Amino acid sequence: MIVIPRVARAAALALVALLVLAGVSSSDAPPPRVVMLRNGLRVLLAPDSLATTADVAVWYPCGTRWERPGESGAAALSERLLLRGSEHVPDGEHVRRVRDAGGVVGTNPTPDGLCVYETVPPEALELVLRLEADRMAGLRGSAAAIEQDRGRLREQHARVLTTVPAVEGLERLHALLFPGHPYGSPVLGNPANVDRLKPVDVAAWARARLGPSGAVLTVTGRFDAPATLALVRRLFEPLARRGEGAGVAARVTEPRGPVRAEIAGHWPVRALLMGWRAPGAADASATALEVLTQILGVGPGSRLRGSLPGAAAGQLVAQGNIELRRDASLVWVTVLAPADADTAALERDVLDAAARLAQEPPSPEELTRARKQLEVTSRFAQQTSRGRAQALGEALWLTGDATASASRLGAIARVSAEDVRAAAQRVLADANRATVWVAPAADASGVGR
Amino acid sequence: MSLLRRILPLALVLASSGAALAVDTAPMLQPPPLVLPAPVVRTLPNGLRVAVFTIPRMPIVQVQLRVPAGASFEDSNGSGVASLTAQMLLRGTTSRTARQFEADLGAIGGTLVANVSRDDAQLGAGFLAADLDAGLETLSDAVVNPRFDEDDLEDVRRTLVRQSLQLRTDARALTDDMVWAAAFPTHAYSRQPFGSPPGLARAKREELRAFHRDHWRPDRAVLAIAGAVDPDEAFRSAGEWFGRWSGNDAGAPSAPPIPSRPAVRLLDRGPSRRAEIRLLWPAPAASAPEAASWRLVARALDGGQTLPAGARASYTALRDAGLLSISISVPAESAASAVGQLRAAVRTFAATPASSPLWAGARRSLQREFAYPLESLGPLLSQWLTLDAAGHGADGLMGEWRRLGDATEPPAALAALAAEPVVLVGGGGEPLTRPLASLGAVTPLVLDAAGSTAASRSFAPASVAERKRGRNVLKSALAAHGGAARLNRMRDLTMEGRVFMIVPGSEIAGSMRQVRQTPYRLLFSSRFPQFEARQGLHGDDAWMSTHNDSDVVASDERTRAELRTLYESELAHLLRIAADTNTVVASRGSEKIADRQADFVDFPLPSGGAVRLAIDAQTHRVLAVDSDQSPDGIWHQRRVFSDFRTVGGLLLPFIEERYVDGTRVTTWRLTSIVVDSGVDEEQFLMPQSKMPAFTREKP
Repeated sequence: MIVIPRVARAAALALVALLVLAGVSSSDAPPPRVVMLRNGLRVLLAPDSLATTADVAVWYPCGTRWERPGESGAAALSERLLLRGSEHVPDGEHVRRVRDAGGVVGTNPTPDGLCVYETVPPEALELVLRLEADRMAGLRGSAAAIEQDRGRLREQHARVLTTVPAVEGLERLHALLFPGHPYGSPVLGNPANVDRLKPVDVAAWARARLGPSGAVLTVTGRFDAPATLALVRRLFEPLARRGEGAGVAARVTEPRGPVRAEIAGHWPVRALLMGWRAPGAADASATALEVLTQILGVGPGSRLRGSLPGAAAGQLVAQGNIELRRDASLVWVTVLAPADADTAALERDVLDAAARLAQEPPSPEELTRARKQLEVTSRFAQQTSRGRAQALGEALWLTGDATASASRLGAIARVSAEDVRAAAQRVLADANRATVWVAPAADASGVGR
Repeated sequence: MSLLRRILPLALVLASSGAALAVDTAPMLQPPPLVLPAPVVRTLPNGLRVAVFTIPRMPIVQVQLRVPAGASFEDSNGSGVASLTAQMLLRGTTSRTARQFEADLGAIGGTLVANVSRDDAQLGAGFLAADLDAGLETLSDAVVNPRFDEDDLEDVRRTLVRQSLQLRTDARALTDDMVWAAAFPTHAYSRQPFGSPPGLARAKREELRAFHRDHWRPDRAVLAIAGAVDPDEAFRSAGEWFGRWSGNDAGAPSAPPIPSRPAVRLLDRGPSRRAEIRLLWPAPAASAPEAASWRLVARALDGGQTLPAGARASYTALRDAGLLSISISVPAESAASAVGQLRAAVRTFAATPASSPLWAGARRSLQREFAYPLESLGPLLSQWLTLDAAGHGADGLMGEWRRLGDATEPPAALAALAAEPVVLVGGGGEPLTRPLASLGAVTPLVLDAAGSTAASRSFAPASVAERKRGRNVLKSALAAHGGAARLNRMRDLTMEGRVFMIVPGSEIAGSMRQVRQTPYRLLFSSRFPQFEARQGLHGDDAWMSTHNDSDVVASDERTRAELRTLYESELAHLLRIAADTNTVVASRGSEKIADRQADFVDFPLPSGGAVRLAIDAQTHRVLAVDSDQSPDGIWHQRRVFSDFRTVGGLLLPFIEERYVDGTRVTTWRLTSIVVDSGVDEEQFLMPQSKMPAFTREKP
């Protein structure tokens, strides 16, 4: 019997899936290649001769999911520690070198993990691989730096609250739907807990997670794959095993909804956030939930747009959203309404729209629209080296399978109207629901002027 | 702590491998050569050029239509017509309502956007490659058979006016938008691509139809398609759907604009703490052979150590002219010295020798920046269309990349930079005029010069005569409302009553109470069927509580500023501010309000912004207060007063109707006003939260 290595099998499946979905005969981009180094680091290479950039990204098990009680904020502070310099690179030098080379540096923190990346001109690929290897080998950092980052984290949290509409409502929604689970904590950490964390504990927390053994490294864009893999092996393989200490995340408790809260916000609008706790990303219903969310609240033909008075005329904003996570997901609706909106009617209309989805399957037109929108969004997002790295890396990170990104689109194309109805019936239930109203801080002052 | 800080850096080094990874070693990787795609180009019988890029890596397609129908093609009174026309193409066709059009586009998961610049208009669409035919059909229907529905036009107009006003609140963006008006004041490029609020408000449906008829024609348009498409199939589909498009472009006068003489232009946006400065030199048009060299000059200026910190340089090239601009934002009082520093820096730069390594670095940087966004189909098509319009042919992308790499430092450009530039200063207002005068004659650059006189009138600094008349009108008003002495003695004021919020089709009734105490202490309570809130201000502290103080939060800086404005907004307090002899009160003409002749006076508020009082010419009562003035001078909010009664020696209104942009939004009917009751200062302090987290929903 011929045994096909798992990596090769995955790559072949990815190619087949891409070709079937694409409907074109060939692509200049070879299929992604996944290699595991001796220290456990998984490396994904996806070269593209038509790209004008190269992207290097590293995924670490550094997210709120891995925070135990009393550790909220450790992931956010660890993320900042990554920017504080490494063995041969002083504080601030990493970012300066990448920028001088014409590239950009970014981080993408999620509850399930942290992605740090550099998108650069292809000439600078070697530079960023060396920088990442040095960072994976060891970080600098001091108590003073962590103290400074703690202050910045507080400022960032405050800034997010005042610059993103209804974000405080979303934080409360997570807290209501995931009590006792780290998903209930803000990605930037619970401010009170962040203040309590000791620098040595933050350093230990980071040490346990920011090594090669639990990480994924992706290289996408225009590069020479054999030469790059050789360099990756030379730079990363000598690093000792470390980073497997993420531990086991807390269990998600049984639903206990419906629950609700009303809070004051920082924006002069009234915001309704209605959310439902849903199964994790690996659940078979995940793609049906993505389609369901589109039908409910995305785009001009959505149910909410049709059923909420004022939504079509632009007097209020109604949007469906989904956040797929490892342990449990969240489907939610955001409605931003004028300060004087009829809140009871709005809430009733959103509930009715959700209830109808659980009772009647969507029309063929709705189903087609939702599937196409999802595919168009996903495909356009993957035009760039950065977009492709995000999709492939996230798939490998969350599912262990780099082809999951492509197979997700195939699964979406197969979702039936009955799948959507069944998912709505299972997820959009009272027991899974939380409702948060954010009252405008400027509401009262607006009345008085 | 100091010991801990000394020890911790060692403890926090997370290295465990011991592998020394030097970052600076000989390079091991060489990237594959850059390949930028070139299209196949064919011309349809109606003159439409179609360019197809086959890029098969994703099963998607991007379509971009470029039409020479930008703002410079508008006639002299038509600011905003180009922008409105382009946006109306997304609002349905003769066979599809706006809703149907949107639904059909949604059915293929497609997106369609319109953009207008000074030279051209572009429609861009993206969808799956399998839907190319359906996408081109929808796009062509929008271009060939636009609906121009009257209701949709009003909707689009409102949106564009709002966005245009929003742009004007951004000093940097507004100043950038006005550089062409400063450099080429007599050319059509002086118009804002977005359209001015007065122009957008004036434009008629017939003008839009005429603009579409004259300029949205195929003979000078280019349709570019990129993605996983077969060229033959793409040309067939383009021919089928765009072949029905007919007519010839009426064209536009295309002539090199006459540059403004070196001068200092002031874009007066009212008092501001910062000044936006632009130094402007006329430069070659996009098609000029030396355009790449001018880009090199701008990049060398931008990336080098020549300019003061915070200054940026750029070169923008359009069909008829280009502009090299240096920009910086500085405190208003430093504006004149900043201009001097920039001029000196540019003169030094102009002497940079050809042997300087600065040029090689600038070339690399230009090439990187050019290539970087081209892996996305949308930017790729936009860039190619721009190069195509400048006459760079089918191999425009690779050709431009090479040109940028080969560009040489042009003596002509460096010589041009040694000349005096046009200086544009945005913001600052009257206090800036005198310091800037040391740089030469300062002439105003008026927004909407062809539009609202009211706007420019509101922004003109008050003349001596206007101030004198303003004081006289105010004096009568102060007397009518109880006199300045009584107003100044006032220590506190409490108002209570009913509030009616007007929503489409109904009114929501609530109650409110406002307590003010000098200085800057305010308690504002409101109660509606679904909502109850209190806000407090105590000097520099502010807070908000909801639901019987279950949730109390300290307010941020913005809310604190709003509460200070709210404190000042009550009529007696406004009159007291105006009565202060340090307040500049200016007469601003007269107008009828509710059949009463009213004199307008305006004055600035201590908390920022300004208000305008409408004072009855006969009774001298304040009939209305205007506020929320946008940068174009339009007052967006008006409170109209009635039912005046004398309370504690002051004449105050018991009814107030509030209008926003002409629409009534609230009515107050006060049941009591009490002056100087000796309120307790404690009530303005932040209460302690009773703090329950959340409650379980009742079944």
